[in-house]
Amino acid sequence: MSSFQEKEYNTSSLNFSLWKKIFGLMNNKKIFIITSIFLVMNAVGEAVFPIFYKFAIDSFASGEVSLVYLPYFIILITINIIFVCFSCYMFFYMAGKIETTFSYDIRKICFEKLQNLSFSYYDVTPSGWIVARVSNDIARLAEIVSWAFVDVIYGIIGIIFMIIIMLTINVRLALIIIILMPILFIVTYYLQNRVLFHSRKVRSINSKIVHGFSEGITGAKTTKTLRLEDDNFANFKVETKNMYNASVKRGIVASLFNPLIFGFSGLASSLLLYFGGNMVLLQVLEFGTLLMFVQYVTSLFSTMRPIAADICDLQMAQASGERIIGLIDTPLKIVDSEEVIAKYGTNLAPKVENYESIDGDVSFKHVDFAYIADQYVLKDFNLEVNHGEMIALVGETGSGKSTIINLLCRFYEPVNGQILIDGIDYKKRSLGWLHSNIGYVLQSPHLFNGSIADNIRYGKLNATMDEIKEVCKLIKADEFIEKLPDKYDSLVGEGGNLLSTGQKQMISFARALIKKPKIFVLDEATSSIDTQTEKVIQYAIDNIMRHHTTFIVAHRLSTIVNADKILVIKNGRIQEMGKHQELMDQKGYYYHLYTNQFSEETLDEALSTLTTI
Amino acid sequence: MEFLKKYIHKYLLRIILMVILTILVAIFTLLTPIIFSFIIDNILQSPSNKIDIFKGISQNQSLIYSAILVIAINLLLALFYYLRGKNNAILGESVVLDIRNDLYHHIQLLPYEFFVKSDSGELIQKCTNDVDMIQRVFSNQLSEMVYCIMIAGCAMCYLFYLNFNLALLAFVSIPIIFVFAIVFFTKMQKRFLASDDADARLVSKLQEAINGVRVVKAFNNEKYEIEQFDKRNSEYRVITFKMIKLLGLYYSVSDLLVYAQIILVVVFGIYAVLNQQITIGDLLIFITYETNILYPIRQLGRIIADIGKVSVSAARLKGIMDQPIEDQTTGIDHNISDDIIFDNVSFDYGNGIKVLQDISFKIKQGSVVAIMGTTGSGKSSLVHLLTRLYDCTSGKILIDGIDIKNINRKSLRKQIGIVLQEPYLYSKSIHDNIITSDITNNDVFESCKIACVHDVILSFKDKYNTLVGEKGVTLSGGQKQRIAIARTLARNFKVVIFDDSLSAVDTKTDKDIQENLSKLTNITKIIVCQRVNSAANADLIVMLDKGKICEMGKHDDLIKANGLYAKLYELQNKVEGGLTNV
Repeated sequence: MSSFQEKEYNTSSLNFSLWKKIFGLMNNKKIFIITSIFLVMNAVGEAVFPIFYKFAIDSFASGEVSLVYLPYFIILITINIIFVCFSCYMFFYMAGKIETTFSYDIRKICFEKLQNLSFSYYDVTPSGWIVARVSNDIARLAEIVSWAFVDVIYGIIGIIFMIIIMLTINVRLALIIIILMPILFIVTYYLQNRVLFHSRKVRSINSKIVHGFSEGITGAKTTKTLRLEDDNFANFKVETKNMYNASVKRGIVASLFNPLIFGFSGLASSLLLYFGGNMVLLQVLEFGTLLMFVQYVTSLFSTMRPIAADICDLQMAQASGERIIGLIDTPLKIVDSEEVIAKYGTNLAPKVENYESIDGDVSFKHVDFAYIADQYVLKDFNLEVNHGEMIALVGETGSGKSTIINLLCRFYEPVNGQILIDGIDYKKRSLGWLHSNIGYVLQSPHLFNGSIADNIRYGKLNATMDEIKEVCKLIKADEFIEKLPDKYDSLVGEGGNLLSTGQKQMISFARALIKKPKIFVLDEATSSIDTQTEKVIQYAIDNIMRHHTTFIVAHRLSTIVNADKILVIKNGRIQEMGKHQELMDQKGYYYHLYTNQFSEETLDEALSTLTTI
Repeated sequence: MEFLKKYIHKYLLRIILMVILTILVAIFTLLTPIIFSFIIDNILQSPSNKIDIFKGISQNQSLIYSAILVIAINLLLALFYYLRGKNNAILGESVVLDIRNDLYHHIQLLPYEFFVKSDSGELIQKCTNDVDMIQRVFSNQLSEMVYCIMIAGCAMCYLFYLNFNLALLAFVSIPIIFVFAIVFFTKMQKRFLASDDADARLVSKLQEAINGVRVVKAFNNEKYEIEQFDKRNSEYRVITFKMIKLLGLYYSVSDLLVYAQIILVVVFGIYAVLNQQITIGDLLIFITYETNILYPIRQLGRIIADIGKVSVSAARLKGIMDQPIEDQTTGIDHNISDDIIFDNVSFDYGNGIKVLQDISFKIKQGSVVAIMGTTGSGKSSLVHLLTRLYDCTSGKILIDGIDIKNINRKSLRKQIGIVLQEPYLYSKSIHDNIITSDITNNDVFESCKIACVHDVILSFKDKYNTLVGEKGVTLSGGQKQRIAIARTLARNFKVVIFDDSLSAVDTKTDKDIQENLSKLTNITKIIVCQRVNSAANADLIVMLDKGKICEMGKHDDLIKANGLYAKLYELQNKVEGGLTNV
């Protein structure tokens, strides 16, 4: 994982080609056009209201127009209200639709991509990073694309429309407002950036505070025994004080927005009042019109802040956008050739009818492999395995034994050389074909949230309940399952945590068995294995694996004494190979390893049986 | 809300200031329309050029004065807004600063038992999320609420003063909008939660598929996973979209109510003007105030629904603060100078299951005592009693003849140190983990040498400045244990307990550390261990079985007795012998 480097993204200016790409990912682009129509409707409807009020005051209240026309006025204004409320609803509706469709579409694309990416990607990318991209970044982008984007457009349409109305009615008064607008916008935008700056600071201190709490709580026992309570509290207080200072600073900057708007609208209103008032006195302007202008000042000036905020959001979201596009554009390393796809189909649309059945002969021919260019883990590796044989791989961490498994399962492909199954290069058949013939068991089992039956069915999606029960009997899992209150429908919990590790291992064997695979792979344990799990593995090896081609990465050597071939791997080469007794007689590395482990086992046993002596 | 009382009391002045500033903001917001109304009625519609009230000032001049007044009012309004914002920020952050510090301090003082029992993730969640919730109330929601009430109240008063009947008409929809908002947002909480839940399910599916990627691929189930994910993905889409639609419905319906109210006032206002009950200026005030009232009222419903959630957060935090803290100071200070005696000590964790039963033995000052036994035999509990992490249920532990229940915990823990089996290293440098205020850097090095970790630390790139934890190196279990030993030794305790704290250290290093420790003759050492070799040189070996002492004595005595210890010794020696033969 240490080789994983997060790319730094630049967020200083808007990157239009990126946004084009992001929008390009959406299936339904018509939605934007429809939304824009409702946006225009809503903006226009809202902008028209001051005209109605002007009319009410200038014409009806002043007695200039007869009240006979009042009903028409009421009808018109009611229509406008309904128009505005309807477009308001539609605006929410469409923005909501964009947000949810966008996140749905992009998540789908990302997840499908993730399913097709090969191991080389997962080996260098922390899973937390991937999850954060698909959940947080997409959520954020979706929110921005729908609400912020839509908001900016709405704001701009509204502004343009109000300006047009003002200019048509009175150019001189309109100019007073129009001149002040860009100044206000620039100051607002500047302030918004300052808020952003302080917010980043607050966020980074906040993570320190969260860390402080987490340390104070998880380290509490140690704190007590070393009497560090006061020291820790003193350190924590420094962070909370920093938080206080940064947050108050941010709060003060943020509290400048309202004064700014009111200062500017005060200025604009008084200018309007003076110039407009004189025009009224000269009887070139009705005072209703003057009031209308004053209303426009407030609405125009208060749209500045949301627009500035949205533009800042768009800039911030660019980093999310680039990470998502980066994920989607990651090249696939392991893909079937076109001919193979033509015959066997893809993973998502397989042509199972063309899958050949196999015997399970495996051979590695002059295989070279490197995870990082030129750093070979395997060099000219050769191995012949006849069907039904059990191969045990032994060696230190980094010796290359896991690599052999990774290559066999085609999680990776050889750099040079070939791997043949039943005499045919496995690249000439599809990934799906290979994987449908391999029974894969991780020695530290990974179960999915769901019931026991669901987990076993994972090996064969259309398996019947009888088939499930049958394999459970084979691995002797039925004994414990039948004792559970919900039997096969019992939930296993997150990662299978409701079961013991031994029980999890049985399920993971059952899951592999139900496929009726020709090749079994017992992959390396990612953590140490407890005795219960060990027993399950031993049972499976002794009773089930013997009829299949089996590759096992050995953890406890005692489990593999019956293997047909034990391969001791060192630095990517086979150092010793043979049956258990042959290797013991050689008194080489295997002998040393075996005796060493044996004595540790004896000690463990002694301790665990201590009380019963 | 009881939890918040203390803070409300402490920052009462800030809260009062907040209320005053908010009232000023509300009043000044309402002033500008009055000026405009005055201008319309008295200047612009005035029949003559001279204005009566201004004692003959020309219309033009009075316009200038009014314009200046408008600027002045708006500038004052701006000022009040700024002061209110600043005051709110200080208020909110001060409260949160105090709450965070109080919580942290309180948690630090909770007894050992609390941390054994509680879920730390949940606790951290409460300390962060619930505190944020409260912060929002003080820095924002409270003053928004005051604003909404004040502006609506002031505007109402003035409108009633202008024209009682029209004012009544102007307020008919207020209760409807208010109730509508509260009911809606209380209901809405469920939708918000449903959407959050759907999101959580989506993320957990995602996480599972990524963590189990080996299984997915090996089982050829990419398609199945995509379908499963798609289910959650669609579910989230449907639920969230429903929520947004409902929100849209709320805003459009409440908009409709607001606008309907406004035309009602406009239409009846026109009649009132024509009947000369009010002036045109008054009508203007009615229309402007109507918007000034209705939107805050609509907002008020939402705020009240939000504040409702805060009581839940406050109650959760109160739950933490109500946990009784450990009393560290009651009892005498005592300087340990002599032996420690366990006199018929029994102990259970309050559930009636005896963890220790009738334990009696003596630990001589400066001696080495080994405590052995299987997992669950009560070894750890036994040593925890010594520093009063727990108190024994019956019997006595005497130090220099004094029952330790009479000695305050602070004094005990100053002199008796424990190296825990799973020590916690703080995420700072190795050096900072070990050092205390009363020792030198040299002492740090010395302790590390004794714990056989000095050379390991020097092999790191940043040596003693190497950071521990997420952002620093990942230490092996054995390295962590050794640093923890060094940390304890650096504190010059009179009695040091090693609670199985060499379990992850290899046999050879274990031996070296034991040897180094044996040179520290002025320290009483209590070693909880599994390996016979760690215990062999002890002055006293105590074998525990199911909470009782089954054998006790020196190595040679126990071998002679040919009991459990002897058998274990034989077994382990055979194995170790086997190892050296290879």
